[in-house]
Amino acid sequence: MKRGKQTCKILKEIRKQIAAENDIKLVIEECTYQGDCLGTCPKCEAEVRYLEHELEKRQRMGKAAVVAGLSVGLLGASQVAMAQQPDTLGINKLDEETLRGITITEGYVIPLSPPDSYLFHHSLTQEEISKWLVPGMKSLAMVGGDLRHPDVLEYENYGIAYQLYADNDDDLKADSLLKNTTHLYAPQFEGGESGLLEFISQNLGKNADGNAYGDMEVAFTVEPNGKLSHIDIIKGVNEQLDAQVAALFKFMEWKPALWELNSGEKIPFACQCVQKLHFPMITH
Amino acid sequence: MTTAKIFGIGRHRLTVDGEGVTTLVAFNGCPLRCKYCLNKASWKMENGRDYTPESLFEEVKIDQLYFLATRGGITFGGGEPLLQKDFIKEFRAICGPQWQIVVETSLHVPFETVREMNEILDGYIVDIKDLNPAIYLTYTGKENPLVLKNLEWILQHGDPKRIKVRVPHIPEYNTDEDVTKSVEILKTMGVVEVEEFEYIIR
Repeated sequence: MKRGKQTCKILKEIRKQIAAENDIKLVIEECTYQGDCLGTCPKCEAEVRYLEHELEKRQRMGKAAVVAGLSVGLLGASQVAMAQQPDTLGINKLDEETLRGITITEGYVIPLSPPDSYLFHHSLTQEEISKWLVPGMKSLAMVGGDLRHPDVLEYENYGIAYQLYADNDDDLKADSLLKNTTHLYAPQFEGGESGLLEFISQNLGKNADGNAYGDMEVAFTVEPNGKLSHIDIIKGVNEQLDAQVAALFKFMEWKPALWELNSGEKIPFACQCVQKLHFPMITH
Repeated sequence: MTTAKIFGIGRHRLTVDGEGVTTLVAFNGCPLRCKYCLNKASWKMENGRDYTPESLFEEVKIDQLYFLATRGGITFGGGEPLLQKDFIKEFRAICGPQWQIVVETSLHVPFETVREMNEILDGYIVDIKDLNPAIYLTYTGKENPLVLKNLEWILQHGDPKRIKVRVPHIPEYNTDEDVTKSVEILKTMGVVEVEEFEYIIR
């Protein structure tokens, strides 16, 4: 949440400038909050309301309130640095964090089958999600969230995480579909997770770096036809092994994710996944 | 009373929507169906919350001090904000002339809409996709002559410095050469603010 802190800092400077220019006494205490910062907080908001109140008071007394364009230079200087950081609330920019920054609808949870997995709506808070996670849970499915976001991957209880989303115009009215969903079938490699590990292990063969050690995270999308696309090593072990594993994923075919509706109809969906792998790989 | 569906409001955007501190207001509804649209939820009208220009103003005026001090204001995005022309016009009447109003638009809207809205808008951020008609059609499902006509008109009837045209590299749809070609054409049209960018595929 580095960007939030940066935003907070800039907004604070703007408040200081307004106060100084209008001869308003404003004591700003150093913020010691260490958690996620959204750029503002009740304390910051209270300072703004205080400034507004003081400015109104001055206007009522016939004094001029100097605000317009006061901080243009300040923001211009900070823009260069800010532009290098990810945009947390971008809408039309295809930014990975975008939708997470905006609460769009009420969140809710639907128990799914198999019973050790749940489907989460994206607008649930981390706290709400954590209530539903239990030790040993095998999968976490989300709609509209972003599995590549560190907050999501923080939930280490799953072997593989899934994100399902609409992939064409006629798809899901996400909300109504969720309400009518009775089962979610996660995408699966033929032979399950052990089959997947075996496939990778066997096909890496002798070319693999036998000394490679560490955790790898591979992001990919299982398309409705079972082909994989958008393969990306989001956490690598070393350059050579990363390239080899990425190449292997290109050859895989999976059973696609399926929604099962109340009507019994099963609809395949594109599904973004993150598979964790550990090297050296141990297969049974 | 004019109402519109809004699916997101983002405060304190400091650099990405033009000048100053801005608040992004994202409308539902879009004429395009872009493959990599990040906000597919915005295609469905039922996903948003109903606002009137008055109720939106009440919600966003919380940052008026920042808007005035930095010459910022509201950026309407979406979805396609220019589909909500009456709403934005009424909002302008309420917020007054000091707030900057910018739209993040594809310009894929009727010519009359652009003519009508131009005088109340302070700036445009145009996602032009690709100027190659075939690529545009494949990617968005729509044709682009209307977009070019609208872009030409706003360039001729406003300050080109207030019109930023963003040209995306669209994986599997256009090449670096296509993007270069689009940028060249835009420059010959009189666009001075061009920004290339990469789509991040989710």
